[in-house]
Amino acid sequence: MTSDHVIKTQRLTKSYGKVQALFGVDLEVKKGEVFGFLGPNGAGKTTAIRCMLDLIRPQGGTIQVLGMNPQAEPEAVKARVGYLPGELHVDENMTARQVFRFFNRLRGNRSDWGFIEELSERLKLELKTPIKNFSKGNKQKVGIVQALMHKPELLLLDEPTGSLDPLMQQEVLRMLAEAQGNGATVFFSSHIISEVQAIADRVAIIREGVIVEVAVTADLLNRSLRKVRIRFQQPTEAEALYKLPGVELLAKDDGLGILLQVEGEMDTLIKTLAQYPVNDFETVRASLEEIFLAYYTGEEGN
Amino acid sequence: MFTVIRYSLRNSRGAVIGWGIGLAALAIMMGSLFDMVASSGDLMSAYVEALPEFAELFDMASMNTPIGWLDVEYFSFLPLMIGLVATGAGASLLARDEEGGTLDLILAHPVSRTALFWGRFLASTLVIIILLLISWAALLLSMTWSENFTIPADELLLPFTSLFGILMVFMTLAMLFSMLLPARRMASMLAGMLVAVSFFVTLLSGVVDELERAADFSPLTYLETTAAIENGLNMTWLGIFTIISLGLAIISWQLFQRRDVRVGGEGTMRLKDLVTRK
Repeated sequence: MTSDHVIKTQRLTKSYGKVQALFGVDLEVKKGEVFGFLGPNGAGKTTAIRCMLDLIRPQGGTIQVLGMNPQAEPEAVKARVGYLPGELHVDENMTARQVFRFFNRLRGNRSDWGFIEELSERLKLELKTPIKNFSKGNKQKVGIVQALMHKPELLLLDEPTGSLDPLMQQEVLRMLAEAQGNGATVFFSSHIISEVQAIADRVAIIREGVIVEVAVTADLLNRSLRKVRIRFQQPTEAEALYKLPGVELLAKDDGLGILLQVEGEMDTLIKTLAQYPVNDFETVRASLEEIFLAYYTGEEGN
Repeated sequence: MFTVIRYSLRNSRGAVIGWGIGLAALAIMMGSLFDMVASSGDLMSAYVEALPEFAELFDMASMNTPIGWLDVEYFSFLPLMIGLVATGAGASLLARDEEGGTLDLILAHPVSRTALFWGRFLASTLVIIILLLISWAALLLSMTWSENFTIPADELLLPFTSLFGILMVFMTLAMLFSMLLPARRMASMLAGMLVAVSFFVTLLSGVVDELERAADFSPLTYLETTAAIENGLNMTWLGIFTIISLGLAIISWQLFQRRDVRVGGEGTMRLKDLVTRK
């Protein structure tokens, strides 16, 4: 493992009885980056994260987290990781303060209580109320604070902003950005594309236990599908355009306008288009959500 | 491990208070009733003569002595009651948190499975010890106002010590079941059934000859009450029960070490999943 990789999995496989959850997952997460792990429910995101923490044992492959094998040195790994499970369950008779105190003790009292209060205040989390009286969103805040409170080197977050209102989602994303600014690596799973697009340096897309794409978020957006609307000055049969690699005709109207879908670089299309009398040219880049959906409908995944 | 023990004990507060009050009340009632029984010696003798098989079943001939009274009216039923507490505690040791989903986050902290397991085990053992001590202390308390009910405190501790050894077997058995079976309630029910079977086989073996052989395999057969006070505790049996309990605990610990932790809910019954893997 190179030293700048905080997480590295190779050919990771995991099954639950007859259900195969991961099929040879290869992942590399670099130190200090925010890495988004995209996939719908049941794709294998949670399974991969739980393997990294030795909560479940893979049947095959290797995992390195912070340079260590979680199965060989689970406590050493977990001491340096902050984890937010997809579904937070804590002793609901405890107050948030008691929960934090308990987890802090399990970590050897490493956390600064002032920092815990600061995080709680930013999330408007009431510390003295028993968890059983909390809404789902407030319970999620408890999970976020406990994951961040010891300023871990690596954050493994499973759907961190689920159940939160948009304002709190933004606050959590700010917290993650701050953690990254302080040197932490953030690995988070999500199916909320907008937040991945907003903060992830790189993304991996997992589909039915297989990683189908790993890319820098910006590159993925740049080289992804675009819609191009062209308006000609006169009726034109621009067949040369449709035959270009990565170009597909989506719609055609009155001979003057066409709508194309372009995958990859625009260079060839623009050069070819120069042969025609163009009145108007408009491109719309696909959002990460559209790219993601394309993988799941098989347009790009195939 | 200290944090694990502390928080496990904190979670057992309700059970300790509830069962402690119940067991103390039972002990005080039994101790307080002895004066009445002691003053009715002739009636008791007539009762024993009239119902010899029933008297034999409960060893009623010795009821006019303090330990004889406890033997018949207290130690005959206490193991069943507290045995069910022990199996409940054993089955819940880790399975309750796993089914509730809280184990996932606890184990994501730098606490080893070994520390968690043995911390919880020690806490549950402490709960049983506390309940037995409450019962013992309540009996001693009832002696302060009874004219005839007197047993030295150290001698009275011996039957409780014998019972403790047996309860640990039941608790660790329930613990093992909880590691093997998909649901805590299934483990608790199975272990509780074994306590009940042991109780009835031991009780009835005195009058049903066919059960004598089966009683040899019933842990409660080896509960020493009067014998412990009169002859001292049989350390061999206590040692055997301790070794069995430790053996069961070690197997459970190894199973816990190697298994996948569920996110929550009950598991499914798939025998091949019982094979541990690493």
